[in-house]
Amino acid sequence: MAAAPAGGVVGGAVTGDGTAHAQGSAVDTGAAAVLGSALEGQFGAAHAWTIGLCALFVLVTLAVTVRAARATRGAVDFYAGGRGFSSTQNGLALTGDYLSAASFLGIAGMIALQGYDGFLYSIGFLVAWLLVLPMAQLMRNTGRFTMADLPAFRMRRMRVRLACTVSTVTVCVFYLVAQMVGAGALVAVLLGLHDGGTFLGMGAEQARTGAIVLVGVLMIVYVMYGGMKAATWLQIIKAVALLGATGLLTVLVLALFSFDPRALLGGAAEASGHGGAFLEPGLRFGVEVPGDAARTLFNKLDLISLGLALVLGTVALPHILIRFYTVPDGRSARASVHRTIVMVGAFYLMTPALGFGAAALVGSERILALDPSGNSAVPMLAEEVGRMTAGPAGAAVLLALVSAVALATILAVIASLTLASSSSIAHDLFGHILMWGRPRESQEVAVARLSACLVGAVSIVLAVQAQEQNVAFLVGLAFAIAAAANLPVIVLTLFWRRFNTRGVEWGVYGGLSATILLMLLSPVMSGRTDPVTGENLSVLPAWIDIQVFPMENPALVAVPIGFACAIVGSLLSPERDTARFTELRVRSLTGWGADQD
Amino acid sequence: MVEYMEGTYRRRVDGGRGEAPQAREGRSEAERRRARASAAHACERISVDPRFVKLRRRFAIQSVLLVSSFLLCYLSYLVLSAYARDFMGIEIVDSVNVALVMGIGQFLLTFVLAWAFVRFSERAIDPLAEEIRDRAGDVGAVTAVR
Repeated sequence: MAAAPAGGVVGGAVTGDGTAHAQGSAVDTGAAAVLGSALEGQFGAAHAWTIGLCALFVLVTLAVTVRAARATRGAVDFYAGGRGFSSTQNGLALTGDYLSAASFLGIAGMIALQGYDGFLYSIGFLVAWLLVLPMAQLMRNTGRFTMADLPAFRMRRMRVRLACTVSTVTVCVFYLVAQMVGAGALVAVLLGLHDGGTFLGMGAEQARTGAIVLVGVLMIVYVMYGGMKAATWLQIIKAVALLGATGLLTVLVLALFSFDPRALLGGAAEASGHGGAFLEPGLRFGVEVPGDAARTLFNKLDLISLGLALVLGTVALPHILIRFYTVPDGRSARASVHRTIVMVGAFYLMTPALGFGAAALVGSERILALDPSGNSAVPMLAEEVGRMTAGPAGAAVLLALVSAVALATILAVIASLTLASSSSIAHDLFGHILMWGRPRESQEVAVARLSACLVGAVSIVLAVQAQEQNVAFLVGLAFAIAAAANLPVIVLTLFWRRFNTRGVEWGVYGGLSATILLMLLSPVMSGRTDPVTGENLSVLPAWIDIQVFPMENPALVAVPIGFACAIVGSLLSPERDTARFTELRVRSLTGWGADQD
Repeated sequence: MVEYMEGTYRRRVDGGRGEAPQAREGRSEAERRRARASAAHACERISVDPRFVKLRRRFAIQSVLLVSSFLLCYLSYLVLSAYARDFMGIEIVDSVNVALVMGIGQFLLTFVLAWAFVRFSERAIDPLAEEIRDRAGDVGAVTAVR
């Protein structure tokens, strides 16, 4: 239990189910019965509503994609949506990009099960945006399409672009696989195939594979045909749906407690079985192990490391970064981040209401029985609240609404991730490295479409392969890589005169390999066992034990390594270009000469 | 290598989409070099403009203030969560404890800091940046005539 995986929540939504299958067979036995009883009577109706709403979402977004595809002609349209989005639109799209299913299902589920510690995630995810706020206008004023444009403005070397492409694609693929495996797991739970059930003759595994492939193909279609315009509209629709559904559910939950938060908190603490401790930090993170001072210390450091990864990783996530290029100027980029903060903040303020509501109304036993990761807490809460407010019909409708929104959430996030990696491959790898910086625009866009297809296909294959694994840690890993490999490059490019090509390379490769290595040696991969049952809780089989690093979140060590590599690399190379740095500084601060087209 | 193609100094030349291919057809190597040199020259001039120095200082101050204050608050909140469990568990009003109030406090702090940053930027940064851009445009025109 000590220190649950970083991704446990971040990607929580996303998986948990894998663990359930791998290890929780005893728990699983009760699951079908619980779901059966929970949904008895309106089982078919809830399914019909869910499928109907999902189909509606897909149809609307496909229509938007077709329209976007008609308006997409050149590279600017494909990579940056024509730079014509307003700051409110872009703010909504950023919100959509950022709130993955992990936020919607994972955090609420964690609050429902572990109480206050889930809330720590909400706060970390929101506070991170304050770091994005000052960077947004600088990045908009300096770059064109991808993260590599930033350092390439000063260094103008292919090696810089290559390094940035490597880290962008790595982060995106890890994130993608986690989200797609999550989509499969979610569908299996929602269709009640969790344990032995069948739906239209499909078992759990076929349903998961089917969901992964379907979601993957849709994502490829969105990105290939519509590019950034389609992705942005997809995010806007999803953000509105997500905020609406969460708001509705929150109001309904609070109404059941006659709008008295104290009653809600008291009810949750009582129903959780933890009492007052449920409302205090310490059930999940920074667990104190009596008699083991070192373990306690590492658990507490792990908590701080996790917080750091969330705060420092957000600003350097590739799919967030490329969104700043969709607005006309630096000022709108900043304004869109401000709007994002308001909306993301409102959303995360509602997560405790959902989580504590689920704890009080559904109860942790029923949540645990269905899915040990807690990802099903929100759907179960919706069902319960619907039943208490409007009877069985209400239960079916609310459950369907929440399920459809969760799937839409996953779909939208993976589309953006695919777009981010395909623009990096097409613009940096193809355009500037293979074609020596002189590709035909049409060629570059064609390559972008092709690489979207390629990245999508690779992710589908990986996700199908990994569907039985607990890959939740991959999202935490993606944040940690972003913080350790991308952030040093971005920050030093913008603010350090002496920074140069070797610095970029050392920073990216150093940060990347340090993060992956620490993760390999951490308890996530091997050597963690359940203290009670002695069951293996790690990814690798029990007989492999390469655990050396005591923490599950590598950011606390990896980010300083990334920065140190970047700085040492720069100092070891004689290259310096002061004139170019001056130009970058003038441009980034004033917006003079920034690309409008 | 590809120095001459990278970065963002490519300008629109033919009213087209300002992309590399048009630039390649529309301009010769020498013209591109000249445009590049004049852009660099203009930037050099802007960078010593007292207004730019002022802009730089203002931006640095507000960013450092923003980042240091939120990091301080957030990290101390994390450390308190990890080490001061007793303090965090004190109940203020029934079942509302210090931990929860501090959590909500982080939200409010985020909203307030973001609002303050944006407001200060709009008042003190944007007009100055615009002024510098306008003046740089004039300088650019003068250089082109010469």
